[in-house]
Amino acid sequence: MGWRRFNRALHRDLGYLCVGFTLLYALSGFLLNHLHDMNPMYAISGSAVSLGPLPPLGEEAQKEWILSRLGVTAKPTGSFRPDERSLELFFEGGDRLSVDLSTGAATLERVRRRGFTAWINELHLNKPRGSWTLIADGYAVALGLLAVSGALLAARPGRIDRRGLLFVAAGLGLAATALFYVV
Amino acid sequence: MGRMKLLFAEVFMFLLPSLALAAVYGAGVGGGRVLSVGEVLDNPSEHVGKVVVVEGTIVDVCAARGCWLELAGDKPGQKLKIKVEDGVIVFPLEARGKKGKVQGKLQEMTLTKEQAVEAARHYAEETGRPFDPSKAQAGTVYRIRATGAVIP
Repeated sequence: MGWRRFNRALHRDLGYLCVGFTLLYALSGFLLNHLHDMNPMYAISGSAVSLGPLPPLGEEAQKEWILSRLGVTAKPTGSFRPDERSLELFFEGGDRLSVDLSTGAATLERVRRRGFTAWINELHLNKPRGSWTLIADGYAVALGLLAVSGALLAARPGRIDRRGLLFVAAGLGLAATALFYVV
Repeated sequence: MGRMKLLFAEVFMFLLPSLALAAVYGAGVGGGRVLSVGEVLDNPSEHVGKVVVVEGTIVDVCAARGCWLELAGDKPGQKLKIKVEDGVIVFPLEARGKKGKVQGKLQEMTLTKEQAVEAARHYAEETGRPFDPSKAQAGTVYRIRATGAVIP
């Protein structure tokens, strides 16, 4: 088998093997680039509510009054006073109730872990570690082979593909330009 | 069939306690004296540059990358920021409200007014809280560069 035939077969087979991974990493990479527009891990929503004037009670009694006023039966996992006039109550799952004790204005922040996008985000960031590190490293090697074998898929055998060289130079130039923002 | 049910029940009971185990992040937490946030912030010069173990209620977590959390002290507004290397340790937002234990080196940073404003802007972006540049003050801040944590 000549090297060109081997190269085509390698590129084809690696392409098939990596298409699933590439789509997942492409989507998770896109989401990471737009982290400030959409959190891939959590959907966080807030709703404002007015409790009205709070009665003059001790701290623990005040917490119970607030929860009863809102019809919340879940027991807070923790609490915090950001300042003298504020109170934050936390609930299982990361939900947070913030109360302005002087006005009775409250905000309930609900946290819901996303499904699919949270999963691919964790894979992209190698949260599982262990054997996933080996799998992800293997994919990285496969991508490198895909890139090289793809570049060698010349349109006309025996000749340096000028069009290909131009595209490679353009890609490297773009990456080099981006370095200016990092260094 | 009865034996299978008993087997499943026994396996389940064996596994059940594991559900209550705390999650260990990074290198975890070693032995030694556990300090409260108040003990660290009331006498920071005693601990700066040293590895400490601190415990407190987790009152905030970076929602974007899980790269920091804040432990609360006993006094209103008293908080200590715990920073980890991006991607190496990722704290879940679900940790809010739980009592966490963290190990790391206490760092002291002196911020100019501009740096304090920038830090406040970044914090507001990450937490979704309102940004008020007039509240950002130049001065000394402390944080822990953590190598591990344990959160139930």
